[in-house]
Amino acid sequence: MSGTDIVLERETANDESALIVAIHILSGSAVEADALIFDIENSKATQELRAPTAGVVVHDLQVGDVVKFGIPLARIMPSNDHDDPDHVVHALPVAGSPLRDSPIGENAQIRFEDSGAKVTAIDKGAAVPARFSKAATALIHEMKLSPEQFETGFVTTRDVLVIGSGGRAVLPFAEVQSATRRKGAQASASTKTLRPPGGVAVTGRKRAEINALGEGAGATHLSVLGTTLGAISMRRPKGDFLQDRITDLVIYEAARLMRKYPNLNAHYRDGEIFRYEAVHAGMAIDRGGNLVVYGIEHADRLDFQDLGIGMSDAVARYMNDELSAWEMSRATFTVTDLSGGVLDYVLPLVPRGQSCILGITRTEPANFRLFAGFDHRVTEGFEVSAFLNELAGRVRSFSEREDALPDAGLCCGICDRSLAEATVKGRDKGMLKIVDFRGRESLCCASCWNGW
Amino acid sequence: MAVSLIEAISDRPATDGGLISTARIAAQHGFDAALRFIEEPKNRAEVECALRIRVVENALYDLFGRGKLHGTIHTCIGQEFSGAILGKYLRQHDYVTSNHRCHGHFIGATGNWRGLVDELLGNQHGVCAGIGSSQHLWADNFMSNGQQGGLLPVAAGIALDRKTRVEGGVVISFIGEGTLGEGIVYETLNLDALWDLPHVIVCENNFYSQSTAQAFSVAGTIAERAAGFGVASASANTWDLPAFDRTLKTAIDRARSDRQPTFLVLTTYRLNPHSKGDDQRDRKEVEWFAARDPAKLAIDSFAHFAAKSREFEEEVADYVALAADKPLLSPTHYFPDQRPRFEARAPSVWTAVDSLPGSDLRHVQQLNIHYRDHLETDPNAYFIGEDIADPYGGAFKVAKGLSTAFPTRVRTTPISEAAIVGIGIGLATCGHRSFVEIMFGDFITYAFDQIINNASKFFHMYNRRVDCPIVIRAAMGGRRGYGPTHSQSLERFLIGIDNCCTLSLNSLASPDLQLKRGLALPGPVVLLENKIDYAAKTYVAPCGVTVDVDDAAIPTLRVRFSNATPTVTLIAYGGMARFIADRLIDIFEASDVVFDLIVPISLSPLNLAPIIESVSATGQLVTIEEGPAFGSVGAEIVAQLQERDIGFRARRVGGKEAPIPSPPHLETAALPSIQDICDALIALGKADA
Repeated sequence: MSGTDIVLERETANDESALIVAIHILSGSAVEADALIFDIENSKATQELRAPTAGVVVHDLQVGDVVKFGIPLARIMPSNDHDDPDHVVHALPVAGSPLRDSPIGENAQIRFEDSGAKVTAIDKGAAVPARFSKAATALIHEMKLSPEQFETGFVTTRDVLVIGSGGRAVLPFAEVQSATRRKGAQASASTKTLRPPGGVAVTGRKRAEINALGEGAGATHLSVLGTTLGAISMRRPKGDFLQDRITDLVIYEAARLMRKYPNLNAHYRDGEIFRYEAVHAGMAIDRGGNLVVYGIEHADRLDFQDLGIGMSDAVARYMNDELSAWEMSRATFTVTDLSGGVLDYVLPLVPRGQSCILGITRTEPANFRLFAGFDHRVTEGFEVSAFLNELAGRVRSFSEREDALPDAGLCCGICDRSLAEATVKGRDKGMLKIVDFRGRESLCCASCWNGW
Repeated sequence: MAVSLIEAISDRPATDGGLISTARIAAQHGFDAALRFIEEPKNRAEVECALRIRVVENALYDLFGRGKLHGTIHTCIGQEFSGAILGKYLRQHDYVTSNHRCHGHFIGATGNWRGLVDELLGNQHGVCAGIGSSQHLWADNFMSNGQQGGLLPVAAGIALDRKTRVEGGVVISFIGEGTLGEGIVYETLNLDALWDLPHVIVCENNFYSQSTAQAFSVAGTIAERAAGFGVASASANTWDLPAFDRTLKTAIDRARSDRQPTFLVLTTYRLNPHSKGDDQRDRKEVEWFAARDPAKLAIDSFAHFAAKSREFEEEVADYVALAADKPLLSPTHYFPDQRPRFEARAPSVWTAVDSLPGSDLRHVQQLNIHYRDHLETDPNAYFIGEDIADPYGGAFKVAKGLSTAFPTRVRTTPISEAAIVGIGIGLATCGHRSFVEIMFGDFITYAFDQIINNASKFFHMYNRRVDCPIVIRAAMGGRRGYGPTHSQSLERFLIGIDNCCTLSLNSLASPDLQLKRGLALPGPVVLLENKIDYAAKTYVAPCGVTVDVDDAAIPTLRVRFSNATPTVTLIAYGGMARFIADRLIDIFEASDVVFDLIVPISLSPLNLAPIIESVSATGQLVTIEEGPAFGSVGAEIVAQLQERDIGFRARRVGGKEAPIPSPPHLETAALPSIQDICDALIALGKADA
């Protein structure tokens, strides 16, 4: 590489190094001979470093850097830009220089004048292109969004998740058949957030109900229903890490039921109901003082084994503080399991961006209760009651009560599903007996036989 | 064990031989002269003044013994002629400073014995409304304070004022020989001599520092101390009164006409204890001197003085009897201070800084122009400091060119931080706005007595009649590799000083904008500048970031991301503010947090309004400062916000609790880094989840 080096010469006997106190010309800029490039301070005096020749300055320094004597600080490269009439150059960003944060190129330029280089904002009032935090950039990538969707401003993961606007825009919504969609969609348009497609305006009757509830004595749209599951002492399949809990059973069945009850896998915003396309089950995790809701992606498509692995993995990463913002915010409904202690009742509060939360309690060692908290703006007691009863029936089907279940002990050798489950659900028609080449017998449910 | 002069001397014959003879010979030889002075009709006023002092002191001592005086008392019985003869030579613009044993000097200089009695009885008619009592007196041209030698440089500052005034005037300061252990005495003597100040220091040598005999507290000879500085010394005693009279006159004349200082050693003897109940001296020794007491001589030998003494006694007794009915000072009158009040109102009115005139100059040049403007517009302003004269212009060049432009009011000083701050205080009490530069802020520690016991206290202690508009400028901060004693940030020690503003400048805006009203305050100001900021030009915000200033008397700055909602409030000041502002985008990118950076300029008092405004919106606060977080500005902010019941969570980021090392890798580790700030932001975020 040809060019002329600029070397700092020692001025005092006492100093080994000096401090860069000002950079007048950014790296990558054209300079005239004798142009002031750096102000440097040693313990005795301030020194000016000027360009020995004309050319383009190249350096990697920032204000506050300590530089050693006798070592080249910068190099003047021969300039190829002499035909540029204005000497306007688009400077390379200089790491850490006080001027580098101006997005030079679009909103600012470096202009050469007799007094030296100046960074000029082209228009201070003009919109600044969006800048992203590192975490936001990673999240955009993780969520398969595009940076162009954020027009301006300083974008954090909060913005990406559209927490600030209360919306859950980044999750796709179910296809909308109604012609009433997107009514009043401009009402909450934000420069930073995506306006979600797929909203369905609530009906006039529902709107009246919402208003009436909002003005009622409780002034709330939260409601809760509960049912008793009864004793589930010998559950099937066995949970490896959950032991005597039923969280996975509830998540497994509730996630599947969400397809049937889409209003419970939705959220309300500005007069519209948004029903999520995917079912991401939220699992509330709290080991004291740090409650998070981990979103199990596509819980309705997982078998017990993958669900169990996913849950135990989430808990382990929670303990290590490794959960990402996206994982902690993508849930479309939530299950909170409080059966660790003895409780009669829970009023589960619906998280932002959701319409339903399920709470599990236990009144005695193996007697569970199930509660559903829901957003009355999206659904109502009739629907939730039906959902809850169906869910309770499905969860009960996992209970291995020897007195009640004649087929005790008969279960699928592949997915561990009991015969009771396979029968109660009404989907499967019992089990197949399989004999392998050694003559050993095992059972296989219809689902496993047919594939999911 | 009684420690007497005699014993002390017999213990240490080599060093103290002749001490006792000094006192005894003076008393023995001077006694006849005392009689001559007393019988001389022209000295009647001085003798009566001495008797008045004796009577008042006896009455006060008696009241103290009966528990009628709150606090403590130091009587001057035996030493009265020191103050009594002083009054004879004082003129209108002369000034007297004194110490803990000041009653005699006060009565001699002002004649206001009633004000003194009321002061000690603690009622509102006292010369300072009873606030400071015995040791803390102020009247026109008289001041006493309770610390040893602390008023000497203040007196020198007043002497500098008197020297430059058309009407002249001299300053007489009283100290005891016990004070010779204080370094401030020698700093002042040095400056008195260097600047030819009209300052007479009377060192009353009564041979005891409280209960400690001089043999244990003063080495060498007293008079030669002054001689070493080229200050004329003289000696006299309170027995040979004609000689004392002549010597005092000579010293005061010398100050008045020749503008020269004098150090007058006045041998005397205190007949009462230092205070009460703390007298360990040999009774025989005290009795020997009591038998040679000039005041007693006057009463015993002359009927008219005996009658006068009785008349004074009745007068004082009658006056004391009236005291019970006198009003007491109300706490509501006493407590308010001089620091600016920040209205607790919201919202603050913010103006974008870049719409105000900026500057292409470096911060140090802008400061230089700022102070130059002050000196130009205020012909009474002084600017003093070490090494500030041209061509050097001070270590950081803030004073460059000032000594050339204003040669009488901009003075380079010896390395005497305590004395030059004291001189600044003296000038300030005379109505001069005085700027005192502490080259490295680390050395403001030398001046703490002056700031804490003088500058900050005068206003309250002297019943709101003494303003002290001194501005003590100091360069703070690290990141220059200057090491443990040249890199500190001592704000946490300064913000706790009552009635004293601590301001911290930064380079996010011009000094003119930051100090628009900051230097027009009536009380003392510690003005912190930052070493890193000196070299910087005024901050240029990156695109999409604005710097705003509020409309308070001493403003607060705010750096804000436009088009984004802050979720955390950062607070930083001084060099730390610029450090963060320069790395705003880095912090945003690494921490995933959009924040407000609030930059207070006044650290004490704090303007909470802009902080509350931001924290109310964000609910999360991180304070960042170069000094350790323990007992810091950040701690104070968190505590004050807590008391306002604003729901918020906070983290403090501060320097390490160890001396700041010089090597770059250690110094960087000792001071808050971007990583530390990001860690705090992320920790808050996690606690929020």
